[in-house]
Formats: sequence, C-alpha cells, structure tokens
Amino acid sequence: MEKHCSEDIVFEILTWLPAKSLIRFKCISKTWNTLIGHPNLAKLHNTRSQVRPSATHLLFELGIGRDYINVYPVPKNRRVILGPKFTSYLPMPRFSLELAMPRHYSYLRICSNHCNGVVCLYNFRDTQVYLFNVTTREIKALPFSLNQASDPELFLGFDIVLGKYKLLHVFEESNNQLLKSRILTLGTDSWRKIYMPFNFNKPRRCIFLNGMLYSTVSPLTYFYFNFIKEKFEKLPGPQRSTCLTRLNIMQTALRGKLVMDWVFSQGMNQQRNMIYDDTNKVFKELNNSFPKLEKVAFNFEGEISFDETKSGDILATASIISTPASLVFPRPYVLRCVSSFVENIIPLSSLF
Amino acid sequence: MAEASSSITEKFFLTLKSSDGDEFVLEESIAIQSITIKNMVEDGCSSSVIPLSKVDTETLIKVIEYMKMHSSTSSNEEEIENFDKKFVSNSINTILNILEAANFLDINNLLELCAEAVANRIKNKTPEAVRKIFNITSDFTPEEEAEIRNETPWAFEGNLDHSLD
Repeated sequence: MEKHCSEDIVFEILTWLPAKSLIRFKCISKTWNTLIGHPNLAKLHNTRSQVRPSATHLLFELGIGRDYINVYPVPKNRRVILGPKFTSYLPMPRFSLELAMPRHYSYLRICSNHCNGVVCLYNFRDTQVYLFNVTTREIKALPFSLNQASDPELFLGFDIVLGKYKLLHVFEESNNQLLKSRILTLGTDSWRKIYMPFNFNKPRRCIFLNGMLYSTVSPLTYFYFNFIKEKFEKLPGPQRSTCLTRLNIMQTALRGKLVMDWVFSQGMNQQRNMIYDDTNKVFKELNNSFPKLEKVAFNFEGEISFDETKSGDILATASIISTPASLVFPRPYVLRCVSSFVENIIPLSSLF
Repeated sequence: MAEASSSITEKFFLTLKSSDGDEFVLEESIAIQSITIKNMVEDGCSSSVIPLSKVDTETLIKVIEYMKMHSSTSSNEEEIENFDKKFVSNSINTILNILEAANFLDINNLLELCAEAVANRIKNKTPEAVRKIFNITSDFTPEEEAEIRNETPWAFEGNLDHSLD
C-alpha cells in the first residue's frame, strides 16, 4: 500500500540531503520545490551540513594562462603540478574539480573574497555587482551601484553576532587618490565609514575566516579586518625584523585556522609554520611539516569543459572526500586562492 | 513495609495497540522515549490500552525494537551503533513507515536516524525514481519542469540511480 509522505517528514529528509540532490529534486513537484526554496530549510540544512563531512568543500579560484610559472604534466596520471620550480615529489593532496560558475559568465569577474561559499562578481560591461552562491549557483544583482571606473575591490564577511553578511568596499578617492573604505550590512542601504590604518596597502586577495578578513599579500605590518567590530586590527608578528611572513592559503583552508609561514632570512634560511590561535591571539608553531600552498595537484579526469574564451578567473569546487566529476583544463592555469566552505543553500533573496 | 516497597524500583507496564489491533506490553520507562506517550502517561490517560491508530503492527514491532535497544542500560555505544546500521538497512518503504510513526510518536532520535537514512538512499537518484518512491505525481506542466531543469543542468550530471530501493 503506497501512501503520501507528510510534509513534515519530507522536510526532515531534505535537511540531510547534499545540496546538489536538493537542486535536482526541485522539479519533483510544486510542494518539494517550495520546501527546498524555504529559508527555514536552508538554516537547518546548514546546521546539519556542519557535521556532515561530505558537505565541506574547497573552493578554488583559478586563473588561466599567461603568468603560470611551471607546469609539469605527468602523462601516466594526467596530473599537473603548479608552482615555482620544485625538486622532489612530496605527498600531495589531490582534488577532483568541478566548475562552479554562473551559466553566463562572459562579462563577469570575481571581485571579492569567498565567504561561506558566496562570492561577489562584477559585470564590467554595465558595472553591476552581483552576489553569487557557489553551492546553488544562484546569482543576484546587488541593489546599488558603485560608480567607479575600475573593477571594484569588495570584501565579503559574515557577522555571526548579527547573523548578517557585510560588504567592505576599499576605493581611492577620485580627487586625491587617498585610500578609503566603507562598509554596508546587506539588507540595509547606508554605508558606514571605516577608519583605515596609516601606511596601509590595498588588501587585494583576501581570506575570510571566522569573522576576520586576512590578506594573502605580505605587508610590513600585518593588518586584518574584524567584520564584527568593523575595524582593522593588528596581527602579532615575529619579533625579528628579518622575518618574512606569508599566508599559507592551502593550509589555512584545510585547517580552518590562519596558517602563516615565517621565513627568517638571516643565518640559515629557516622557515617556521605558524598556526594562529584567534582566541588567545597568539601564534603557535606547527611541529609537523606540511606541503606548501603551491604543492597541490589536481586530478584531470572526466569530461566537463568550460568556455576557455572567457577573460577572467574561474571558480571550481572540490569535495574534500571525493567527487565523481572533475574539470578538464584546456590550458595551463594558476591557483589564485582557495577557501573551504560548508554547503550553503540560503536563497540570496533572503540576504538583502 | 511501605519503606521496603519504595526502595525497590517498581516496573510499570503499558499496553500499546497497533492499527491492526495487535497489542504489545512494554515497560513504561522504555515507552516514554516517545514524547507523545510520555505526555499521555503524565496526563493519566495510560491506565488502559493506548491505541496507536496511525501505526501498523509491522512498524510498531520495529519501533519497539528500537526503543528497547536505545533505553537498555546494558547496551554499549558500539552495540547501539551496529543496531542502528542494521536498522536502517530495511527497505525504503519500511523506513518511511517508521518515519511517519516516529513523527507521530515524537521520538526525535529515531526520526533523525531514519530521515538521514532515507536521504542517503535517495541522494543519487533521478527525480523520476524519487517520485515513484514517494508516490508523487508531478503537478508541473512539462514546460515548467523543463524550465526548472534547464536552470541547473549541472545538478543532473553524473551517474544517477534509477532504482527504487
């Protein structure tokens, strides 16, 4: 005897499904479609996904062509290794990639960091900024215009206290080229001024981690932005001035904590791998050594290709566990950035 | 005398009656894992037989099996884990029936266990297979359905499972 399942039961089942299955099941019926699009489902689904290991993905930002440093194809495994000249093989994590761009991305450029699998895209033809959810591949125009000539530099963060997304905008004042910044809580329409530290470099490529925004570029004084307090703060650094600090993006993404390499130039060319304890605000040395960001190999299997005539960087995801589909790269590419995120099916319309 | 009897934990028993009319006698301490039953006991409605009109015999046997395993103090974590694993290997239809019962009886652990199990079983399936499992007739027009599918072609890629169990 067949019978219909009650909506309660269907809702409960849906909260345990991977995002891709949910999106596939939207076409089952109007009831399922409505349930899957409901913000309450997104909330509970996200809670469940936090403890479901296969719901954690890596989000790669990849650039195509031109400035790649070294490409080393290994015909047997069809494997390519990125990065500066290397001398030996190290045990490396390998990821099968899946392209995660919106359907029509010809004029879209990535113009922000990644935050919970959400990224800002910029259409350089009509200067519109969009929010893009990598999990659902939903794209939605933000309700404001930035009125500037060059590509905008936006930084997306999530304020866990408010439960809201915030957008930091760093720009040069048109009359004196001074660097300014302002912040907007998504869902409101007033920008607030943010005091910029003196001698501050443009943050450029950044990583959002537990409410903080860290730059991947190594400045003299390391500032990061606190999205909850809405201000720039200073990161404790090494005592010696002969030390270069750089953010280890891959390890930071994998560990969910800020990992930096401290390289001492005097004496031995010594490198220490430091992990940041953001509760006690101290760096601790990691005892075990680990491969650097660049030493990451990608699997080149499957038959998904993307439009290689497009201009900008692309986004691709990989499950930390494994994914059956992967991406074929027609040209050499470079790894610009990587972050980790938990599947997030929140409808963008509920954010602003 | 009164002192002696109060020091021994008294065992109360409840009688549960399935929709097929079969009666099951169960220790109260086990049965009150169901919040629905617990509320009835507290309201004093449990002196006679508790009728469960929405739960058939086959399903009720499974639910009782689950409650016994999960209340027993002697079963260790590993035992419970193995039991749960075996429990969710029942057919999808059986698990769906247990889900309905767990929802009605308000046994949250059982509800989550079964919902996750169903999700794992259907996650790689085609929408057509899921419709059959849940006995759903699509209320979309072919055009509406095609439109929804065309929005997210990537969600239909890969080896999808057509089987119904």
